[in-house]
Formats: sequence, structure tokens, C-alpha cells
Amino acid sequence: MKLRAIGYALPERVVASDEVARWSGLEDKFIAEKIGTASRRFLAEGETPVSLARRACEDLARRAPELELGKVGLLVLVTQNPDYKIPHSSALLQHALGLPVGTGCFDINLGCSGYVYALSAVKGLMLSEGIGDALLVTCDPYSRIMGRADRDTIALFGDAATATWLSAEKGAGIGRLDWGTDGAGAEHLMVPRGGSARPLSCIDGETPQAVDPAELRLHMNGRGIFNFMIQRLPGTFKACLEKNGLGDEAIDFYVLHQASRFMLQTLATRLRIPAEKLPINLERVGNTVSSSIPLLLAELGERGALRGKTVLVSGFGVGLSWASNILRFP
Amino acid sequence: MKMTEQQALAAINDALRKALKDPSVTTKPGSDLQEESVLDSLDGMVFFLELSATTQKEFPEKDLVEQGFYKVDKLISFLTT
Repeated sequence: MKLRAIGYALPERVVASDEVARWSGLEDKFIAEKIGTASRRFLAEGETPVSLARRACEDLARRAPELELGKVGLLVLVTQNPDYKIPHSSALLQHALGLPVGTGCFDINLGCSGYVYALSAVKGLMLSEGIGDALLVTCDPYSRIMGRADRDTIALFGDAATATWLSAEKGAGIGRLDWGTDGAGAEHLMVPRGGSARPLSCIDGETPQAVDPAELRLHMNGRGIFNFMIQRLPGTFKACLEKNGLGDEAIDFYVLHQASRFMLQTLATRLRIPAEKLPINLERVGNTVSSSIPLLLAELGERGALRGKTVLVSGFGVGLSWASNILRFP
Repeated sequence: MKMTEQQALAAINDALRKALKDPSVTTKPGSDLQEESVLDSLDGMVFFLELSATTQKEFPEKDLVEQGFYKVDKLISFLTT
């Protein structure tokens, strides 16, 4: 099973860093130099995750005209901010794209590690069920859960959607996965209210409690995430290389989840990854959660930079969760 | 073995230099690393990681600003007890 093509879509609304600075009181210089972002995209009022995901699929179809949507046997959508709590957004996307009713559809509830997890999940299902073509879509619009004055999150995240075509025929080889989870750190990235533990609706007929809007927003303990990244990523890179029978000299690019420029550069310094092997595309999109890796792969592909290359991809974040794999581009 | 105040200050200065990648940076008792804009929130993460690695002291996961850990006096007190 191969990664054949990637399309993407960005919301129309551009949010410049000076606007974020006004909301949050952060300094422009800090956002530009440490976060690494000059602007990001937020969903406009009428846009939804499914509408943006549909645009990403349409972009994929333009880039890969040989893709026949009528032959897609599996559609997987990675998101933690779906259109609705029920039903799963992949069902809405199946209908919006006009995919056959015989298409298997489900959502994967993962954050920044989601794309790398999903690559292997889709590959496994294609192999076990004899599926020839599958779509792996990401769209997790954090703009809908961030407080505009929240200095911990508002400068970091942007919205995007990507669509990856996995094919039995040709494309980049997908290697063996290394993955892990440390739920002890779950509270470091959390929306504390709105799930069944602390629901918005009533329980057993009780009147709903007053809701503090802050509890409906994303909370992030940046230092907790930073320490997690520093502790876990060297181990998953090493394990991934070993599982795939590679040494680090075989890696042409480290396409990592685009957490922030500061985090990526700190990691690169500690692991002695040369800057030319660590592409960063935060400047105009920010951290786009599960879309960050496929978005960066698509941009590198557009420049022809992936031809014949071996790429280590690694996603890490919400959970806390991480996953790494090797992609070999023809 | 407990650190002396002098050893604690040396460890703080060493972690500061590593975090800021500036061999000339230094601080002293009575300073506040946040108020005096020595460390921003991101450099602070590296600073506490380095200081923890050097001293084997575990800092609380959250609210280091609120708990006063950006004040050098508080840091020295924490490292020497």
C-alpha cells in the first residue's frame, strides 16, 4: 500500500500575527521568531471541518486526475473537532464527495499524532480487506476552541485540511510504525468540558449547570508538552529507524509535526539534525494539528524535493500520543 | 547531598547560559527572571529542563510563574532544601 498523492485546502480567512498580538498581548517579535508564524488561517463563519475537508479532496482530485472517487473503498477522517458530536464527520464527507455507499467511513479521534497513526491504520485495512484505493483526510480546526486572549495557544494554531490518496498500485512506500501513548499527561492538552464526563446537556433530567465558557476552550500546559517532546521523541525516532532497518544517515528529511519553530529547533539542536533536513512551514499556516505533516509533505512534493527521498515522519501531542514512520518516495 | 547557595546560583547561571545560548548571561539573588525579561515562556521551558537535569530536582508541572520559580531567591531556596 502506497502514499500516492496529497491535496490540501486552507480557509479563506487570513489572520495576521499583529491581530493575534492585539488579542493576546503577545509581542509580534515573539510570535515571529519563537513561534515562527507570520499568519495563519481560521475557518470563516460559514465554513465547517467537512466543507474544508471536501475542498482538500477536490484539490487532491485536481492534482491526481487518475483518482476515481467511485473506486474509493475506505475514507478515514482524522479530527477531534468534527462538525457534530454525532454523527461522525467522515459520513458527512462521504455524502459531500458522492462516494459509493459501499465505502467504509470512520473518524479517528487523535490530534497531532493522528496522521501517522492513520497511515498505518488505513494501510492495514487496505491489506486485510483487499481495498485498492483509500482516502485519508485530516481537518482539526482549533480556531473553534481557542480563546482569543489565551497566550498559550492563540499564536500557535491554524486551520487546514489535507487529503491523502493511498493506493495499492504505486506511490511512496509506508514503513513500519513506532508509536506510544502516555495518558498520565492527558491534561496537558485538553478541552475540559463538553464530553460525557462533564457534559453540556443534562444528566438524568437534572437542569444543566451554568457553563463557564473557558471550560469549553483548549487548555495547554506548554511546558508539559515541551518536556514530553524532549523525553519521548529521541526514543521513537531510534525505535522507528531500528524497526525499518535504517540508520539516521539514511534519512533525507525529518518531516515532523510543526509544533512551533522553537520546539523544532530545540529538538534539532539536541538530536543534531541538520537544518536542511528539518523543513519548517509554520510561517504562513501555523501549527495545523494533524494536517501539519501531510501539508508539509504536499509542499515539499510541489517543489519536487521528495523524489527518491527517505523521510521520517513523526507526530506528537494530544494524549499524550506519538507515532513515527518511514516514507520512501519513488 | 544538599547544595550550598553558591552552588545553586552557579547551577542557575549555567542553565541560563544554556537556555539562552549566551555564555555571558548572568543573574544574582533578588532578581526576577520574568519581570526583568531575562526569560520568556519558551526559553523558560529549556531553562527549567536544564536546571532539573543538572540538579536532579523535579520542578512542579504547572504554574511556575505563580509559584514564584522565576525569582532567583525562590530557586535558590528550592535547590538548597
